[in-house]
Amino acid sequence: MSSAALASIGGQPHALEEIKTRPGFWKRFVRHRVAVISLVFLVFMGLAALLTPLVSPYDPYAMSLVDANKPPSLEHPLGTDKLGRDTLTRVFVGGRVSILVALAAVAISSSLGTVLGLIAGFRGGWVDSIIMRVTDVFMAIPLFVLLIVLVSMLGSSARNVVLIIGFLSWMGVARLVRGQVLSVMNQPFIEAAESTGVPVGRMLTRHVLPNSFIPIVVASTLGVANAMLQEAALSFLGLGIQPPTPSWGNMLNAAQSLQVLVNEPWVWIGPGLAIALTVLSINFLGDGLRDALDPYV
Amino acid sequence: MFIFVEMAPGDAVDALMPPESLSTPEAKEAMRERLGLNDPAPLRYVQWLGRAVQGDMGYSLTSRRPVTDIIMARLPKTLLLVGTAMVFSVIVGIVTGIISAIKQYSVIDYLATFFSFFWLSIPGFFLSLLMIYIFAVKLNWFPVFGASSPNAEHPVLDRIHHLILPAAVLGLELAAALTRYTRASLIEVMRADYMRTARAKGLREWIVISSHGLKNALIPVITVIAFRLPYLISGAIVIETVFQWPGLGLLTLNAANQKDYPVILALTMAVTILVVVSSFLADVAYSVIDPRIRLG
Repeated sequence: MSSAALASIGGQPHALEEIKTRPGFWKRFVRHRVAVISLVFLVFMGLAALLTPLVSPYDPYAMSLVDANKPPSLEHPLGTDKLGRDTLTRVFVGGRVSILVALAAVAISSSLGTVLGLIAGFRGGWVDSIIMRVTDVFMAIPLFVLLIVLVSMLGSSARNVVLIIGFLSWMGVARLVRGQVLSVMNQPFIEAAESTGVPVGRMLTRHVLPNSFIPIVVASTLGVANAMLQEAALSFLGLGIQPPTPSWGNMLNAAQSLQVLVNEPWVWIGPGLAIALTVLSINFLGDGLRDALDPYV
Repeated sequence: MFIFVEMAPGDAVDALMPPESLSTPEAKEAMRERLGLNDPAPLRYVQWLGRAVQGDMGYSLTSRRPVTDIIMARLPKTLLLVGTAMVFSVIVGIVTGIISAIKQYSVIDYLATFFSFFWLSIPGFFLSLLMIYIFAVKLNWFPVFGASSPNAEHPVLDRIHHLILPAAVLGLELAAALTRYTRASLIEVMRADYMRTARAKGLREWIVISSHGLKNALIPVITVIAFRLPYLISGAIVIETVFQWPGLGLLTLNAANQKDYPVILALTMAVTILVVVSSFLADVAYSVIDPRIRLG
């Protein structure tokens, strides 16, 4: 008997291998055509945002009054703004800012939500009650009001926007993880782990958390869409990312002037569509992921 | 319930801590002393809460008018906007959801699903700008912004005319959410045994759906309406800004820009009360629609 065969008998638990090799995830995901199209679009947007200098001959910050307020043409597919900057280039660079801010905010909110949800579900009792009441309170307040107030008090840098959005949107994940933990805690393998004396930390990271992984991924994906919308709204109101750094939201800020709104629609329709399509794609992607990853459907 | 009201101003008091900008240190210090901002935070909070329950929210730092007056002058406009948006979205959302559920997997269903995703994804301000561009600028059907024209012949009609666009934009997102929940809920209910029983009794299909199906399907939908209310108010801030609708949202933004703390505190509180009252109304609506639930 070869050593490889020996290893496969004695080593890996069988079930784990089966889950890994089950011909499921990709097939089920690809069946979701809209989700695939969304993924392609997102990859395109991401690459364009990261590799803007390769894609576009223009500098997103260079002003040129000769080229100001040009309607769309072959040289400038989305025209130019009032300072003569190429709109399409700024949409790509703005995408970099918007996407990074949203991802960073979600990294914070998902980690915070996961930790709080784990503690609440695992500890139970009064710890659970307190965490969940705080969650309820946060869910009842219109967050955008708090967001505006906090950003205007603390100042609108990209870092503050990330932190504030992150710390104000952990509630969904916390609830989800808590629910998941509560249902996992009743499973026989937790009892088995407990009876073999697995320490608490290892119990959480190896037995409880992996079982909450899928809902966390799905919720985080949808969370990116929400964070992006919030950043865009803040920047649109002039409270988020500050010019000259472009973000999709603050590019639309220009359209608050009736002159731009009416006479230069290319300046605001481009970035607006970029947000709408990106958020739409993320939502479809999240939906597709949910269907493809959920082992019970 | 009380905790909601308790927490909101508490959060805002924390936000008071960072020092303000502007003017010389001495002038600022004198100003702070005069406004009582130098008292320790917990003391100020208790004082503020004590006065607030008597209806005295203090004075605006910028306009010097009582905060209660400022808010009361604006509250009806926001209630009108949010209320109209809500009625609009409940009607549109639930009707679309029902059609979508009954004709599951039809073209209408796919369209409804796609558009509900679309309305949930498009930012309110972009939709507002598009609507203004198409319906107000190009087609000239509606006024571009504001809540009324100065010399309108029929003030009421004029107000409605100004209301349609912002209310529609504000309502679409909630309508989209309601469509999805109504559809899911009704499809679930349609599989229930009592639906088969009702059909077996020989009831006509629309009676089965309306009196047996809908009554049960709408219960979770009411939860969603109550749960979504904070989003609606958040959306109102942005939309009031774009349409220059002189309500609480525009006030919030201005107050935040000017760091007008008494106004901000009172606004946070007013908005929270609004949400708490509405979720209480949702509870009442529950017991009306579902006799199994008693108000306790």
